[in-house]
Amino acid sequence: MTDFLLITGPIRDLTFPPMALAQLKSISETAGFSCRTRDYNQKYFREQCNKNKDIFYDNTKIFGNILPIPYDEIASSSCGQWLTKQIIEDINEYNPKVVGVSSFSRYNNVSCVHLCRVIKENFPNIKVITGGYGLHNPLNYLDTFDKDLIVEPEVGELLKTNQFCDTYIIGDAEHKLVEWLRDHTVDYSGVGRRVIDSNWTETPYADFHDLDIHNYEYHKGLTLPMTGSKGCVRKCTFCDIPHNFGAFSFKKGRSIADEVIHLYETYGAKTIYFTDSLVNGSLRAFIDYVETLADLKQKKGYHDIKWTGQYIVRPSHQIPDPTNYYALLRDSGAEGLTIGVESGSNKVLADMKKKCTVDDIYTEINYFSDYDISCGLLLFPAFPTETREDFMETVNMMKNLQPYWCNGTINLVNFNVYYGNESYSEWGKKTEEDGMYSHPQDNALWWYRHNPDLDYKEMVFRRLVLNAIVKKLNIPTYHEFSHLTQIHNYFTTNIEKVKKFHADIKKH
Amino acid sequence: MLTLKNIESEIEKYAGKAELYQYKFQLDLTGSSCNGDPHMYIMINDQIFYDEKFTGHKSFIIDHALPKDIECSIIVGLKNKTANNTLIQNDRIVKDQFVRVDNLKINQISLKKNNLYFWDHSKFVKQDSKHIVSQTDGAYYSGEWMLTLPTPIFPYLSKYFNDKIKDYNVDKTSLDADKRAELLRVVYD
Repeated sequence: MTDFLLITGPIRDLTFPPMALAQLKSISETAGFSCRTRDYNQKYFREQCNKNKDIFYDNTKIFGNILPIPYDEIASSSCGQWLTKQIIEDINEYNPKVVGVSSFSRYNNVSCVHLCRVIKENFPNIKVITGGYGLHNPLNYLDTFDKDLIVEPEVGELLKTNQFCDTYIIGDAEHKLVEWLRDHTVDYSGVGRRVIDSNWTETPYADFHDLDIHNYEYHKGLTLPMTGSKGCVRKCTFCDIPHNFGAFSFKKGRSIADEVIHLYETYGAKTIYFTDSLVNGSLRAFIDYVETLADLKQKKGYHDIKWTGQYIVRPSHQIPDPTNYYALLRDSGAEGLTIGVESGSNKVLADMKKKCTVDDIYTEINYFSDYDISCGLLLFPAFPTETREDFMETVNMMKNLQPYWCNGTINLVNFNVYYGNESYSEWGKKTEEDGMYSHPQDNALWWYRHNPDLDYKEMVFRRLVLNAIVKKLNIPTYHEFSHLTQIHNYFTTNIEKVKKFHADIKKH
Repeated sequence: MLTLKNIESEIEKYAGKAELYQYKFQLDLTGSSCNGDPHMYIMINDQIFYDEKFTGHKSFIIDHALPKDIECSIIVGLKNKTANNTLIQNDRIVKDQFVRVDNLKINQISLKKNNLYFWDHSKFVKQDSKHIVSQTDGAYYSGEWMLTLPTPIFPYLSKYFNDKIKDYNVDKTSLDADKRAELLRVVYD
């Protein structure tokens, strides 16, 4: 008998194994509970799709919760049936007392609902716990999905109320999970509730041994995730990280560098992917980390270690000694750092409370170019206060940055679909009194009275202009097709709702 | 106002504003003297920007606009070099007059550092014989060293970099035509 079987389903990233499974396995086992982990997302990709991404995304798109599809149709799809078979087989094989289902993002939620439902229908005596930030999202298209479900505003609560799970944890589950495994009466669930545990840093190294780590779709050698910090030092107005993670907390730089070396020596990981919201939140700890890692790499001869993660642009005057700083960054193996640039307009950046300017972004990228450090940029059009003039400053930024994707400094530019109100962000809390009109069940549908020209036609226009620029300038990008497909699917499915929403506002 | 009739032309109009036609060329050259300083000139296509004798290291900067869909030839010429400007002892050149391109930057990025086109596609044409020497980094005889790029330069270099150097598979970037038409129809009709 196994104490704990921990699983996850589609749709998740295929480029590296899930951190939550490996981390919670090591924590559970250190606490004395036997644990097995299974990544059905990757297993389905490998076994049923022959590692063909087109087939995988085509077969799993019905799990994305971006289209109105009945649950029965999802459960009887080839992937739905395969998931049912897998979980029943694994439960029969491992005979777990508890099954945990991880939901990393909103795209993970439908498979989470399905797996929980199958477990409770077939093994009613097994306890089920779910967790992950995906669960704080609503389940869209509930009327079509299953009109008999008791409606709740978040997926976690919906699972619990409908008795598909016994409890759920959103937030720092490192120690709370163990508490619950010991005593099933403790409960950390609740709508809007986030478990913040500043002791999360005191955890053993993640254990990837159960996972099929050699069969992920790595870009550059075996890549494993690790976490050096949680939360963010910024409070950008569009982002819900401050709500979800609380105050910024981090491991010591030396300890992070040691863990990188451990992943390299134990699993042969060539690239470490930091799951942190930002790797350089504490500049002191960050410099300590890059200094230590650069030194360890040199001493041990581990020249092929690379690491990547999300990085914030700081005001350029905050970098204490740029020559030394960027050289250390390069020598530690920094590569492909993801920067949330968001906009090329200083006015919009200020409205977002990004605390940096367009010039700071140019300065940082120029240093990256000088020191051969690569990065990827994330932007999105149609922030609520973005006027057409502001948007054209983003266009101008693309014009100015184009030399840097010709020398590999910028190796990726991803434009997101466009702005959607995150419920727990500063903008997500705005009401009609503030001028923000939001559809109660659809966070992509909104209109801001103080920027009236930004309606759905203008949003789509700006996104299509960026798409035209991607093609015109040969910008290296990755999700362009899937983002455009999302826009196509959304409008072809919801156009009547969209038009009614805007017509109703006009009536006001 | 955005309508089904004007949406494509509006997209094209605004996307076109991201195109870059103004370039800043920086040529870092070394001039080596031997019985006189080298007399060099720098041209872009038919326009001469510098024509002077110099020795040592010097950067030459040219701000220049280039229209789209032409070829841009950056030329470093050496003129009036004679046999007197090369000193040979025991079949070895011990001193020579030449102009070497140490670096070529366009809008701050080096085409030499990352082998962006520099070695693969530069050439030297000897003045007298019109003989072509490939993969060279300067003018060591009377004649013209040149590097030719199509315009607009950066979209071309980006494609070249991703195809040939980085081997980066850019994901599919467009909706299929029927889906795009459907999206435009439901949103703008």
